[in-house]
Amino acid sequence: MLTVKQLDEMSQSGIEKIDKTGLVDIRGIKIDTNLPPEQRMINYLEQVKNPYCFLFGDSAVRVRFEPAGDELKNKLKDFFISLKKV
Amino acid sequence: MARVRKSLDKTKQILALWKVALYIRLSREDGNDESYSVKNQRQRLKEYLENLMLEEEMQLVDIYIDDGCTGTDSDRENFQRMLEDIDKGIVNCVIVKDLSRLSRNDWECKKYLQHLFVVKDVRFISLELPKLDSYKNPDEVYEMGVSIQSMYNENHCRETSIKVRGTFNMKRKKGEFIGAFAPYGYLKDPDDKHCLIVDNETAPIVQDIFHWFVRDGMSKNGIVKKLIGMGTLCPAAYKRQNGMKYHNPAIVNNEPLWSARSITAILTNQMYLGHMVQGKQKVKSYKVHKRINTPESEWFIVENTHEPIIDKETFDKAQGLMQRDTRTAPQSGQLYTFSGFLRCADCGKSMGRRTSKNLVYYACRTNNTTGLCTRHSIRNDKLESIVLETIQKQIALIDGMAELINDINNAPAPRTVSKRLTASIKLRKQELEKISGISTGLYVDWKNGDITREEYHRMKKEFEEKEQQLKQDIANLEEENKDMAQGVTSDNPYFEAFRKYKNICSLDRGIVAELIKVIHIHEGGDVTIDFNFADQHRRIVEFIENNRKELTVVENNKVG
Repeated sequence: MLTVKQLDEMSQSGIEKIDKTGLVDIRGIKIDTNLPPEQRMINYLEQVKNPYCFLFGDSAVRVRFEPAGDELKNKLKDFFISLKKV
Repeated sequence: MARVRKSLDKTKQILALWKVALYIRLSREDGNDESYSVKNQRQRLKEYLENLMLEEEMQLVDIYIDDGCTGTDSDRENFQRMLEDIDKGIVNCVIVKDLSRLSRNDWECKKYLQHLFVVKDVRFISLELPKLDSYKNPDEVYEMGVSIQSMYNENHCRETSIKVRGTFNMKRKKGEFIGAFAPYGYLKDPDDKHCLIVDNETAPIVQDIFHWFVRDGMSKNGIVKKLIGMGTLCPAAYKRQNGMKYHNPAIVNNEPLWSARSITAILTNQMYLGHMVQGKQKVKSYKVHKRINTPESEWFIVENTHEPIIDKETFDKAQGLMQRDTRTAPQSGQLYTFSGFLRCADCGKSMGRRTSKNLVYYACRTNNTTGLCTRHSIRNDKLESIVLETIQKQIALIDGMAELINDINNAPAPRTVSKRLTASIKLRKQELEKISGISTGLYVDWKNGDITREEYHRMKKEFEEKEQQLKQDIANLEEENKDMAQGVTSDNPYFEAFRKYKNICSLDRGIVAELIKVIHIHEGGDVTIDFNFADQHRRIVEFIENNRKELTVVENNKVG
């Protein structure tokens, strides 16, 4: 399994330096939401190889996160609550 | 010889009749001195004129009154009217109670007294401070005493200005509201005019404006159209409707409407966060009343002085969105999903939107305008798929989805729209009924001779237009309310889909604005997405590493 150290290294490399041949197409990855979150993450990381850089067709996609940002879950909560009105 | 005699006759004729203007001015800087009241000034001037009439041929043209106008400049409606009348030759004699009524601006006072009135052969009479009559003693106006009095009059303003500014700044520092009108969404507290309370009628509209801008991806013009369509009164019209003494020379039209500028003013006003922000503008000086914006460092900000209408997160999001370079398709009022979020990875400029053969592309704007960068072209549908797929994977990885949906379900709705819509419809229906009643009564008024035929036709037309407008407003509001009726039970269709599939099924501008900071497009179709939430891979892996032992035990127990 990937370690925190490896993840940190991966998240810091730029898109230009990455060899596309080693990347995985994200569309082929299946996530079983019935699994507990830790197991789900382990399975996902095994499939995606690099969670910060993957393929979508012939496009390389790189994602970066906000270290000081809130959790995705809370962002979604705020967003959907704000849609509510009576 | 004949020519000389003729001109002498003419002079005699001009001097024979004085066409008099009585000029009265009262401003706050004069304090509560009773002798300065309009009534007192009028009485004194009239008395003086009547006495003068016994000796000379005088004719009163008009009494020009500027009530509530400062004398530090000449931007006074009736003073200007008097100057025009002097110019036209209707007036050739001006009488004031004292010199400071004419002007409290030393330079302007001398301009009128020692130049304009002399050039135009206007007789100037001041009853006191100093007593002057430029016809009887033409040289008097150039005397030092007059200059000193004029300087003294101006200094009075300077001193008042310093005193008032000191008091105002003290109040501003203490967070006491000193504006003439509370910002839209608030009211001045009837018990303490320096405090603000939430206006239940307009505060929900402020919340709607933020919501439409931040969550629904509406442009400012789109919001303007929606508000006008719903018949919502704009801040100026609302003030007038509520009987506030609001005057804005910029509003020429009788029915002011919402504008993109008023939306910007609302979206950037920190007052809605519950903070008292004052001193955003100041006048150039006590003599030059042009208002200028002050830098933010000079504003008086006192936090948490009143109840907020908007939460900090929504407010910050609105500021972030406003920084983005966006444009809306003509007539649509809705921003494109990625408007303002796409940047060229190499030059950093925003990406331009192009349509070709019914397909939408984004390309680097530097390349398009100067050719200095490469195209960085990407198809919109492909970009949407990439972003959607990436977000979906992130959502599939979060823990506690059931709990999240529960939390959303149980949270109170932040906006109460339907109650307000119903009240708004009711109010407009009542108004419509009233207008229909008056409209019917008009015919009777005409037949009874209470109004003329022209008045009847003009008023009938006005009422018909108003009726039409109200019917349209009611239809728009009912349409909105119909959507709401569905909303109460099933909430929002976007959330419905989320609840059903435990994930988002499509992209909309609201979710893009919520989750994404910026998307960089690389040459060749590669993409970098900067999310504005924390990295959950790292968090969960760190958790696993720290709890490896316990997790293994749990796993083994499960297997066992």
